[in-house]
Amino acid sequence: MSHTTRGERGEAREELRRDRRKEYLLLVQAVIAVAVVAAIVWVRQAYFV
Amino acid sequence: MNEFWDVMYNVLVVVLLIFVATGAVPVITALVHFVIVPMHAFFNHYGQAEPYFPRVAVMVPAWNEGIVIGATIERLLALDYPAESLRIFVIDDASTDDTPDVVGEWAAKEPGRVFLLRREQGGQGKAHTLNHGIRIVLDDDWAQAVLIMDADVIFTPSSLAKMTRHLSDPKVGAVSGYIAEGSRDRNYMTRFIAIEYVLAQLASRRAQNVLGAHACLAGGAQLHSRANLEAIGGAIPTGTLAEDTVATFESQLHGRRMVFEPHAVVLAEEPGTIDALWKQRLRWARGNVQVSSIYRKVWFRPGHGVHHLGSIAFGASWFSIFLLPFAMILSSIGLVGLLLMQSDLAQVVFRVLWILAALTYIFSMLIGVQLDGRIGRSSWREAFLFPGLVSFVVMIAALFPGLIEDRLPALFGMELLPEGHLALTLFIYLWISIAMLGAWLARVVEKTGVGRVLSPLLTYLVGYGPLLCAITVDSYIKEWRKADTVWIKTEKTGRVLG
Repeated sequence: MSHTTRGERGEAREELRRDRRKEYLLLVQAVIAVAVVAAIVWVRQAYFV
Repeated sequence: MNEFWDVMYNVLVVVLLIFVATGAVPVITALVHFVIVPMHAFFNHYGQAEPYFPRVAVMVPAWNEGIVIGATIERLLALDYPAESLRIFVIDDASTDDTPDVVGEWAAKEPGRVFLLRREQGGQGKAHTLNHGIRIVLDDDWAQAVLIMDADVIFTPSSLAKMTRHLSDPKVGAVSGYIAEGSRDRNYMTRFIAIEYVLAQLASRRAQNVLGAHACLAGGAQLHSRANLEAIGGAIPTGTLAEDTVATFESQLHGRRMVFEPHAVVLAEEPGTIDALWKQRLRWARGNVQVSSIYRKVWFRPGHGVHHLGSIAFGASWFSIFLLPFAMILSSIGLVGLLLMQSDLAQVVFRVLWILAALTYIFSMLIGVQLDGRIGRSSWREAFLFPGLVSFVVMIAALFPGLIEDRLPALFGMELLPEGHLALTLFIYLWISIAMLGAWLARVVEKTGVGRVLSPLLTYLVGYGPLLCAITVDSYIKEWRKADTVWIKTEKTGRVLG
């Protein structure tokens, strides 16, 4: 393994934490997608059935 | 006698309903996959990963890559990765252009970091070229990991370090990055491909991370631990057109975990014409036909302790794509059959199938355009026309009964006659199969004088999805006829972002 400095390893660890946190955005994105789908279903039920 | 015909009628209706139901299988599989995607927030490998900088040997197979290879080496040398832990090996597959000269200059400029490995006799394909280099690298104990890439892809500065951190877990055998469409000269085709890559990688491979089984790690950004490569025989398996898929399967069959790292972005130039896409994807699709046969004893055999390739979810996902054209054709036959038999069920199952397809498509595209903001902003039109304009209208017709067939004509003071209604219904039921013919036609007209305009128009009309299905059908035919398995390289111009 290479000789990385403590600073570089700390930075890499922080980046790992950041990327892990970014994955929680998937939940927000899914909620938005579900909300749009639900709105379409509501319009269908309200005006077309 | 009448009773006999009643029974026959009912049997036929059931058979036709089963045909229609085959069309629902890929839709349900896709829906399940996209529902799994958000679970990646909790079920991922970040908890077991930590900063790790192993000595990496980068393998760059190159055949006539003179235009792109210099920039590729320059970008690799500029990676945010310890310089003493990175060696670049360009394996020149007997190029006839200036590839060896360009690489030779870099090797002289960066001794000990850039190496030229020359094959005097080439043309056997990427796997053979790679193996020439891998054998040399594994003969020496310097490399702790091997990065397999394409000569024309551009690794973003932090991408390699984001991939190596997963190898700190010895259970992980290989890691793949996100190959993002990055052509500088974009057109309708590269935008469709960009959306496809978001769906097939950022979404689908996250789901595969959760399921614990991977179909294929991107051949253009595949990082193997030395132990994994040695376990699968110290070489990339040859003999198929899908060497990256076979390497991914073999790694998992040997008990190692595969990880997709969505934040390791690698930019690639993609085909800008249907013809170039067709040639590239035909190779991939034929490779998948071969893989389906090679691993016939793996599919749908859950409960294997070492890997999850036999799980029902993974098998359903693989065969939903592999058999999608069959499902589309059977579904059409089922719907038309029910219509001709004057069964009321035709209308009901059509609505159920298409409403399910429409909601799945809207949900997956909304997730897709959010996963990569750059692609989402530039390619949202292609995202919404991915299944084609006609299918888009059919989905609206299924979702909102009466809107297309009654309310729209009424706006212009017109009314659809019963004959017109029947013709329209028949066309809609047949459309999912006709769309594949339309895609084939788009390729044919591309080579003509009007192709520049007509081909994109036809593609938007029939959709990019049916285009991929048409290529899959072509791959069945080529494999069935045992056509030559020539490894045709995708032409590149070297104009990649980054």
